[in-house]
Amino acid sequence: MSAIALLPTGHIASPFAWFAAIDAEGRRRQPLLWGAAVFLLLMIPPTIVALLLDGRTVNDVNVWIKPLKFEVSLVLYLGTLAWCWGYLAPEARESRGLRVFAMVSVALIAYEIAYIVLQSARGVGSHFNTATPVEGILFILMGLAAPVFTALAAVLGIAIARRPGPNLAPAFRLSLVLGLILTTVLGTAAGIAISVNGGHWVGAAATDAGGLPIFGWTREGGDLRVAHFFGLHALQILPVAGLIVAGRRPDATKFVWLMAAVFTALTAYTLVEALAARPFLAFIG
Amino acid sequence: MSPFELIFAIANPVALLGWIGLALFPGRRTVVDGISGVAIPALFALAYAGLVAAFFAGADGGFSSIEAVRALFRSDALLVAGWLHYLAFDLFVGAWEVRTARAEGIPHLLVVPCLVLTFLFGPLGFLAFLILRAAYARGASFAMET
Repeated sequence: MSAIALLPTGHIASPFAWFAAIDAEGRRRQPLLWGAAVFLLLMIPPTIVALLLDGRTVNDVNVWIKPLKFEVSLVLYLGTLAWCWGYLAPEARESRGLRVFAMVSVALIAYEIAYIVLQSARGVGSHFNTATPVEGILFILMGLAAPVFTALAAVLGIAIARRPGPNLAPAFRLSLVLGLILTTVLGTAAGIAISVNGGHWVGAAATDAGGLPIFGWTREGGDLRVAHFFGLHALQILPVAGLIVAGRRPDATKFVWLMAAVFTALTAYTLVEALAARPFLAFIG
Repeated sequence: MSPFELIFAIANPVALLGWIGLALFPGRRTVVDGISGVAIPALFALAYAGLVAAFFAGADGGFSSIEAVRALFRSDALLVAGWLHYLAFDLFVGAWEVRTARAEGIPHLLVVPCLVLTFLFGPLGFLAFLILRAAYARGASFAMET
């Protein structure tokens, strides 16, 4: 049975030491992506301070909700990619192409988050804000950047499929590969839907007030961000499920394929549902 | 032009020169550690000391409430002194950022946005640099050694 070193082992004295050990391991696996995740994580406290002090709104919710969501989401994205980098074969981790792609992705993410934060500080929208020519161009640049840095997941997934690290249980390895690839495919597909639709609402008023708690997805009609969310987080959901499966049956690759198929179907369903102007889980009211 | 307006008009471009030095010559110790890090802030400190010595006792207000501080800054002498305080300490912090980045292997390209923020919004840039340092100081760099 293959050993899966998810967390550093050994005696860990305190929660702080536990965090420091995870931080050290993340840096060891991919310092650039991990550093970017740490950077965005540390941007969250000042964002929350601004959220508590600022009374301005965009789409009827506090202007700082959006930067906060992007920070949390990108911390998870970058942190997971850095962690998964460690599942490449040692020589593949040093691949020049992969490293350049990671560098480009971090630069584009820095642009995206900087523009979102700047626009929130100015009290105006970022995506779909074409009020001035400059804002129109900067919005288009965000639209061009997003698919590029989202493609890093699939690129890493394919690299792991071709040159996996030693001692990876087949079921876990497959869940990594599929989770990473599906993040790019499903996340980008939902992103394109939002772009073509000219916003995330379908058949609902252009407001984010009264949405689902935490997520803010509208209850009045369809919200394309539901599928965007599930698609983009395939790279956490599937590998965690794969880890659990591999812990019991390391060779259960067919079961992992099945999980990925079900996950894809459910994400596609949330997209179809939103396009049909129905809220996510309509029955919960 | 009052002497306070004159001090203000001289101090701003001098501070800007210090910032340009930090941005363009991060490797020059004369510029970073000497001119921007000590000489220019010391010059501002000198002017500040003179202004406070001459005008603080005669001014209204104090440090105890927003209203007291507002009253203090109704004096042009102390307003320009307060401005010199910003300029001096922000530049000092900016030079510290460049020195720290140099010592800890943080790429200067990433420090420049922090310098811009420190120049414009002091503590915001300082915080940005602390976050950058937590993300990429020592051992972690664009070289990506593993």
